[in-house]
Amino acid sequence: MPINILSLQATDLQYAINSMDVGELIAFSLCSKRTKNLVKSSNMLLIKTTAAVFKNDYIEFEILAFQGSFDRDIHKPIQFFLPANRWMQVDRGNGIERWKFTRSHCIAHFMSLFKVSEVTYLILGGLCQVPYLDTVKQIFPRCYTLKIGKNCSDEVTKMAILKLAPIAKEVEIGKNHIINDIPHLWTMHLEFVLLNDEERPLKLTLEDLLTLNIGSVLILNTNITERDLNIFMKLWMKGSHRFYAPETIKLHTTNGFRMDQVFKGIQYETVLRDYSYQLRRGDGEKLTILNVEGIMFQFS
Amino acid sequence: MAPKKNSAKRPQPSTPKPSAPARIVKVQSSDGHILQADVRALLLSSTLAATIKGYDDENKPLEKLEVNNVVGFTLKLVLEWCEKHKEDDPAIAQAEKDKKNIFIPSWDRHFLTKLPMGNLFDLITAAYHLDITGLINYGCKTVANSAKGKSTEEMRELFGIPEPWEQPSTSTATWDD
Repeated sequence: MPINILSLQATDLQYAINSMDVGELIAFSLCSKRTKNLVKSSNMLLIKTTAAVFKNDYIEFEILAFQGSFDRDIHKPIQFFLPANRWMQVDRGNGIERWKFTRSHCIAHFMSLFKVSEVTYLILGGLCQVPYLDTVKQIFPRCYTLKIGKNCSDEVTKMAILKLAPIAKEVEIGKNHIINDIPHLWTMHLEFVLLNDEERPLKLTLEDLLTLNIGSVLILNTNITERDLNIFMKLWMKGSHRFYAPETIKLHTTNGFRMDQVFKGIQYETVLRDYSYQLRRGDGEKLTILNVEGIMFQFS
Repeated sequence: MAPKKNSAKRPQPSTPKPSAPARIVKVQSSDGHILQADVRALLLSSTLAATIKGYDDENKPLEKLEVNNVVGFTLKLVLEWCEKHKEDDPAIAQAEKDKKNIFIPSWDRHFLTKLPMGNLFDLITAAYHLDITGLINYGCKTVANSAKGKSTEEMRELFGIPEPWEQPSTSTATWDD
């Protein structure tokens, strides 16, 4: 008859637990409430969690954690395959295992185990049912980065921005053409927005730039005019408000920007020839413009 | 011309020092079993080392050491392990104490893995009581190794962890909250 491991001295038990690898620790943590608390107090550290949500209510959840010092060659993510209403499957690096735990139980368990309240990445892939976004929000109430894949339907992409972007700090969107229907996006309080649709350019206007409330913006394909950029800089030079939210705006375009048109009528200092320029405002504020693979505004 | 050899000044290979004669003492377990052990082996236990030092400092003859919290069967295992490691540098065990990846030598691996899990836990507990760092290190690592590749259900079975609904309830909280 097996003897309960929990009868070991606390220090010995913790020592044994600290010798387990992450996959074993996760399995051990699911044994009981006490084992969960023991693993919680081990020296396991979380790097990131990734939740990818696909159609038909199917979720892939990934944990990258380590003990000791992190080595990317040794420490690989542990993957959990979580269909609705079925037992979960796990890949700890030795093939697929079937564990008798439900999806809602295991996600809540992992978040509690790593003492986190948000997933690092929440990825929406190929979703086409808008009401399902409420379920996603229920399962993952917060995330650091929301990635809305280009395979999601237009309606899901729009609604995901409206419903899920407020629970994220960073948002990546794979479709440009629906952005003009959501001017609200530019005023959202986000740290970073990436628009990574390289196929269809985003029509960006001067007004969009002026209303920006996002810390950092990167658009991989935009067709904003040099005239709008020129007026934007002139307005910035005349402005006196110190609290323009963005720190950086980076815009790419397929044809490049004609910098003579962008700087038309503007006094600037050249920091590095053809690459870096600087504008100084009367109140001491600086704007650096970099012309490398597009145009980048850095406000300081 | 060949260099002149000066073999007289060359240090001669030293002959191994004759080891000190083994000093054997009796050790009594909590259930009254009396075993015999070399003092050098017992010195691996910080607890017993302190007792032995106390006797030596007072020049009292050490005839029998009593180990009140380890039963005879487990004490025999402890002494077997200590006898094997009596020449070890204790600094090595101390240095390995906080390391995750320690190497278990083949003799120890064989010695520890052949034990049923219950005996292994008893041995680790005894090592803890007697403060034998090396045995704690290898024992705990062996327990951790036995969990390799096991699922939650297999771990529950291996480690004797009751199913959640079998666990004694001490509060109104559920096991998964």
